[in-house]
Amino acid sequence: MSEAALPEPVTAALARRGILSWISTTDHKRIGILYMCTAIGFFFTAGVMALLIRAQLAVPNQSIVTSHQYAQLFTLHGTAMIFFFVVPFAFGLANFLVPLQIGAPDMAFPRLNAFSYWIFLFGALLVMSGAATNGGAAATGWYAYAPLSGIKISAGLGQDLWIIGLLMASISSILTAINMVTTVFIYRAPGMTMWRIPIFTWEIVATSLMVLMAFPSLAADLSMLLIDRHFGGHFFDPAAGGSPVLYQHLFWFFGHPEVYIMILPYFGVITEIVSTFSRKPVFGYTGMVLSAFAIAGLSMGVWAHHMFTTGAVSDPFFSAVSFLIAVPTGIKFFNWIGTMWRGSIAFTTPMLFAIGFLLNFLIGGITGVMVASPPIDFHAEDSYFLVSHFHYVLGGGSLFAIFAAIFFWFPKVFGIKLNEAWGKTCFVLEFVGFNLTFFPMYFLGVMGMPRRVYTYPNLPGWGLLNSLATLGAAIMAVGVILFIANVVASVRRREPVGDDPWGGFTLEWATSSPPPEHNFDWLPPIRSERPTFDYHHPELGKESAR
Amino acid sequence: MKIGVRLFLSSAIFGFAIAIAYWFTTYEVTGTLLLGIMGFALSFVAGYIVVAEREARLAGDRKDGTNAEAAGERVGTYALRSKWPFGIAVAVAILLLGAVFNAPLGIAAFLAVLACLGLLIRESRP
Repeated sequence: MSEAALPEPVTAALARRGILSWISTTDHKRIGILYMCTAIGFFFTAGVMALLIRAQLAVPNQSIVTSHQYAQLFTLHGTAMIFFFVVPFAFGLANFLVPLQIGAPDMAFPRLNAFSYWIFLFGALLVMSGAATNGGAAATGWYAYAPLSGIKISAGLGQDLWIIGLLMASISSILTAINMVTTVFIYRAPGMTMWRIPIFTWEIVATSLMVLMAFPSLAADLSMLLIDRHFGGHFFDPAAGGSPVLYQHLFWFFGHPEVYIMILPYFGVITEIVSTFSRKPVFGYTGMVLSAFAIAGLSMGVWAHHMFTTGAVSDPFFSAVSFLIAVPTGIKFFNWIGTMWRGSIAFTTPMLFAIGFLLNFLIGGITGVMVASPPIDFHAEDSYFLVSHFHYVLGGGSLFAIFAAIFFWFPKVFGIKLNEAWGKTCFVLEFVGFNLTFFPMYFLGVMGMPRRVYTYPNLPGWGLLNSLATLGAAIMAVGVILFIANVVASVRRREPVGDDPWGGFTLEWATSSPPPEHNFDWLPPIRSERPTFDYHHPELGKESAR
Repeated sequence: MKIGVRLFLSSAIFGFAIAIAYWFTTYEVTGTLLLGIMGFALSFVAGYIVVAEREARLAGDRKDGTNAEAAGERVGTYALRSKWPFGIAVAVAILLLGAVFNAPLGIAAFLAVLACLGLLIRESRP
């Protein structure tokens, strides 16, 4: 179709270029790209901080940074990775994909969507700008426990910027969740019943519900902390009748669901990729959906397993509910294996990262079940065992799924495919580097090395295991550099790959790459959860009708 | 919308059930309140859908829905661009900073938020 033949709004949209067009955009795809690029920017920033941390810990009695600088580094690293990378990337991907997957022309509230992005960006910049203040950035960890984060101990401006920035990021997440749920419930294309929407979209619905339940608790907690610091409040001041344990309750009522907010969208990513490259429909579609909601529901009732050692919570209750989460998670693993079983598996880069995700997340998940048991948790609390556990879940899990998602949907977003050979090399470097970094930390934890220490004595085994971890981090960094080179080279080469290079099943693969501003010039009939597959293979389509 | 009601209602029942179980296991107030509020919020959404949206007939809810049902002007129009979301976000950021560090700046930012909202609403009118 020539440009002259396009309807007016489309030609106007194509003509828009420059920064102003990005500032004023309300197109869900552009907002999705903004989210994802911003998130990757924060990933690089937090990654450099991680390298500094590993350099400091490479050998015993090292002094590259001071203890206060080290505390700022791990605080900003954790905050950026959690709040400004893993969650926003998921929301960016959802922004781009959800309307496409359900056949909608945009999100339900496009302007609210744009506002959500900008408030997130400014919040994130405020948090990071703390590093430029006189007293330095916040240095109280990503959870900023009171009274450590109170005005008496942490009087610096950096802590205030951290609180205000996260408050803005919370508002952004809540508004985005409202937008997602409304879009999926109201804006589905004709025939796209709820039991036909792709698993990724289902996972976003479950995630959004969790955000709506959990983030208000964080917003309340941060507001109370701000009132304590500047407006004469005593919510968390025990001397005036306040309770630091209240801060922990409110924080972890958000904080543990947050772990699943960071992983459920990526369960969706992995499901889409495993199904596409096994050339099979998702095994146990209904089980996948119900297990997502089971995980979401149960995760709202496990917050105080982070507080076992306070002695102020019921160990049996939180331990039992934490164990229960392993059941729906196990169902997901069973279904992923069932999807691959006897499939015609193609070991592309996205599929390799998906398999890497399964292996890493399994290790992180099993050690999670271990620390759900109070006797083990009492031993492992505040040790490197926990550092390794949550990095296996969020690094080996979410990060690998993010790489998988980038390689899988890059052709849809930009119309260009990333180089497969470089991608596979990147996977090998990331997989080897990641396991070399974090597996030794399990042993360090069992040996008793505490977390958040900026240096350590030369105790037997500690130096060697820490050196291995630093070597692993360096290998991961090389993998990331190769990934950047891959993106730059592929974008320069600009080889068009067509609308559906992977033979995808879901609706986003039915439109052009990149999609037009209004998303679809046409829609195939939707009679199953694989409408694009049905359209391309009408002789087989009825088999998967739901 | 049946699935929407079912989803919110079953989640609300779960919220109330776990709040009750939590209370009788721990007798701890904060967590019971948080879980109870969660159940209430979810039941509120379910109730809203039942009361306000029961007449809703969505093409996406019908298995045999055809694309023609969602064609034409009646599906609505979309804002292709607007600078006000950016403006409101800038003003909200300054408002929060002003509220803590500089009250006059906070008041000015509050007025800016209102002005941007007004302009956004004016822009939204057909």
